[in-house]
Amino acid sequence: MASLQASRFVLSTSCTRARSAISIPKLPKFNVSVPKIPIKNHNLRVEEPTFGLDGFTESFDLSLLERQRQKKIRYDDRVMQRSRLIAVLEEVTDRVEVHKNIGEQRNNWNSLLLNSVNMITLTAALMAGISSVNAVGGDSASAVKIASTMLLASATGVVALMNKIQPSQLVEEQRNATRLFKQLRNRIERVLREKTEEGISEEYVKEAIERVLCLDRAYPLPLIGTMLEKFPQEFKPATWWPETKTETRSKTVFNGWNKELEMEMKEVVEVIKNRDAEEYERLGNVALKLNLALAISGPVLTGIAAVSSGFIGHGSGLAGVVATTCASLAAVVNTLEHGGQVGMVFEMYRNSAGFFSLLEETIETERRENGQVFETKVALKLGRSLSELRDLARRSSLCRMDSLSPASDGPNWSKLPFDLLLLVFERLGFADFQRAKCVCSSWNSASRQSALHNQIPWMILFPEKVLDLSGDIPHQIFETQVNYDIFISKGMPLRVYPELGDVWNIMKDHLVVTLTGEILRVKSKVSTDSYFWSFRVYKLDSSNSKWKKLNLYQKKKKKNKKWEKLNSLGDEAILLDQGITVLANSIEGVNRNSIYFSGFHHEYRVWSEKDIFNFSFDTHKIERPHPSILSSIHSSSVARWFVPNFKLR
Amino acid sequence: MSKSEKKIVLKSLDNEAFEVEKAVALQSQTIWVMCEDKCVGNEIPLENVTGQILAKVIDYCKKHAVVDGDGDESSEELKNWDTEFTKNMDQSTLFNMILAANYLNIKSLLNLTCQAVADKTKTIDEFHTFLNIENNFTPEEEAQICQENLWAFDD
Repeated sequence: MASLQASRFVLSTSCTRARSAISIPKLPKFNVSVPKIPIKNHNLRVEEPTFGLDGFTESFDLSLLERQRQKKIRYDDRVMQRSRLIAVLEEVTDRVEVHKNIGEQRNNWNSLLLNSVNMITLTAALMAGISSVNAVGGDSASAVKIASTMLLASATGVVALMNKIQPSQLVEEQRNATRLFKQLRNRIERVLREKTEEGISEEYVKEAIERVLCLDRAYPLPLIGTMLEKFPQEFKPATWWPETKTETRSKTVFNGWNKELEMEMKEVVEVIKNRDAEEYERLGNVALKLNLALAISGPVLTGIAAVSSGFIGHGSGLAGVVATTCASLAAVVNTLEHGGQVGMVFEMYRNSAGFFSLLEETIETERRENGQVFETKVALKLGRSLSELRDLARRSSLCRMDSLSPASDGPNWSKLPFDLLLLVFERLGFADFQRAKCVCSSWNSASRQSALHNQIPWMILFPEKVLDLSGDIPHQIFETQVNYDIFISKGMPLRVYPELGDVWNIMKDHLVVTLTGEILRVKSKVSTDSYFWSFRVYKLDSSNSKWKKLNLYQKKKKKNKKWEKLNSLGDEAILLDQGITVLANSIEGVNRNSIYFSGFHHEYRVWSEKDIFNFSFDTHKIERPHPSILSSIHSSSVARWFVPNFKLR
Repeated sequence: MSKSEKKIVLKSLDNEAFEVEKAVALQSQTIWVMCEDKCVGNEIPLENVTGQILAKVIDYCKKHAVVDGDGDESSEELKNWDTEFTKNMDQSTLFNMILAANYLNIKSLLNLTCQAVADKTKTIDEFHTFLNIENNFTPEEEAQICQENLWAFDD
């Protein structure tokens, strides 16, 4: 009865939009209150350990010696690691020089070879032209002819060789190697500068060596023997870094990484993967194909020119025409290829693609660096400002959302069939339910037809007065009153205290309907001067068949046995105020096999905060609710357990 | 029981065929009724389900059929499997899974997927953007509804 009034009360106050009613549903959050007192103590204690430590070291000379010895060992080790790293640094500096020199030399090769080959080819073309004009000129003509053939033949050889080694590509390789080694040098120098105090770990030295080796593998020094494949089967990004082991994330020290940044970086990786890396790969493939075509057509053209110049003077003038055209064309092709440095372009793309995959890998594995610094680095490397980078990440995530559920054929959840919508709604928590019905009209109408399934019991606090705060001056609308069952004392008092009033045993029967529809009878007993409650729960004997078989006499005799005593409620918990049970294992904070009740009002007892209890059948003990709940109950307010299965409309 | 050992072929909307054991397929009440009525041969066309979704449904049915049959996997394990199963589903898959579970009438799968949707934390804006739902309230309606439920938005 009380509970019925309670829910009606809530409904009516929500209509008048009183503040107090609006705040009621926040009750389940009570558990968050934190005790604030210990902070002061903590501050006081901070200084103590340092005092203690000093005293400790002074009094124990032996341990001091030992510590010094270990310190020395550690110091030696540090010096050793440091000198190792310096050695690596020297080697790297040396490499920078070597690669730089080789790069210059290759550059000279490129221009010299290109110039001379073009000169040879063009001269030969000229000679072939002259000899075909004076085809019948006798010895002098044939001398020119032979010379042109020879020149063309040698040009073919040189071009073929040149195209094989691709000097322009070699130059770019060396340039990249120089750059990367310089990068590595800067890095090592920085570490040497920064880590003068704490020393350099062995791992770092190892890593540096590993990096040098990887760079060596990616950009080998000697020319032919281990030359990089100039025309690979497929375009692959360059890799010049050691495989990064995935950092264990156990180091939870704050280093600027948070969830948002992580998400942002993931999005950036996604963009890089989908756009830049792919784009570079595509361009790289184009450059590769172009280079290959040019590289083949160059020697072939010169070859044809050489052969046909050999035939000048035999028969028609066609051979001369072919020779001159082919030789001129070859010169053009060679200029295009080596002057335009197609090989270099290819190498550049390969390097850029490599850069992107390195970036990708770093983003995915790097956690050591400070997050903010890393973000700035990535932004700079991609040539964008920080805000642009964030914007990019956000847009990409939106795009991906769109591509997952394009508006045209993606799921339109408001079109979910009505009965299915109800199924989902039944499973929503109370707050989610209230939000969901604000989403669209079909959901709103669905919310009106679905019952809340998820019943988390709440404790409702009834304020003494309900104030209307809408005006300037709050004024009281009405007083609240919760109807209690008043116990009229019957029979003899248990004990008699003249000044406090008599002590009575209060016994009461409650009826409770379980989730499965069974009817329980809960008998409670408490004396007015104590908080020791005892409960007995009985179940209505549902075995009707057995009951029917009995004759009238037996029925009469067994009348009291219709109720079977229950020793456990299983997974259910009783909310005594409402006369129902809830499934406890599906609700956080509610214990199974227990009874939630508020104290009974008695003519001799004033209701107090202590009267909200939880009786556990497992321990047969009375427990008070969690302190955080109790602390938020004002002694003047009235509390009741209830389950919010009503709907706010 | 030679009949129950028989395999049947489920054919999706996009003509992808899945051969499954009958015990697996019969978890679907719809298929069960079809087989019971003998209105289909060995091949059951499922007009409302795409191959991608059907594959997932069959995954689920297989897992549950094995467990029901052998009982060597604890229900705890099965629960974990279910959680994993729905955890990584995107919105679109989840939506279609609900429709499929409803059409095929697989109660447990329907419960599971509906619960998965209900469990995702949501704000109104999330409802609109991620679930691709149009806000078709008039401004007055919206204002009124929000006013009524003010407390639900302030966390």
